[in-house]
Amino acid sequence: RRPYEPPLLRRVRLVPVL
Amino acid sequence: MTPPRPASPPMRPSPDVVSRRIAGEYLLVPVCNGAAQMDFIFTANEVGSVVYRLLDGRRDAAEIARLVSQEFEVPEERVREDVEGFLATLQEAGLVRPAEPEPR
Repeated sequence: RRPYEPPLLRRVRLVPVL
Repeated sequence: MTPPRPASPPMRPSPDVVSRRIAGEYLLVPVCNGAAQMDFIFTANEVGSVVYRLLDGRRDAAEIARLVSQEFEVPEERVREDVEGFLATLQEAGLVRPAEPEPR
């Protein structure tokens, strides 16, 4: 059935390193 | 041993966040005055997106955990702690806020 994985929030940085 | 987390009050999505499912990813984009703040965005996994969409300002963490456990057919007690932690993460990120208590 639908696999259960703990709810997860990922923050994706869109600007950079420079 | 960590002390038990206090129960979360009912939450609702922040009005400053737009959520969309795009190409299988559930995206949460902070916006300000209608313009996206494109320094960063958030993505949630499948279960996270289900939890987020259940936030209507009336359901508390226990009710959300019950619905998620039915949806994914896993024990409720297993989901409860995950949901509490996820709601805390959402709140820290400013993506949700506690719902105003309804006037009597």
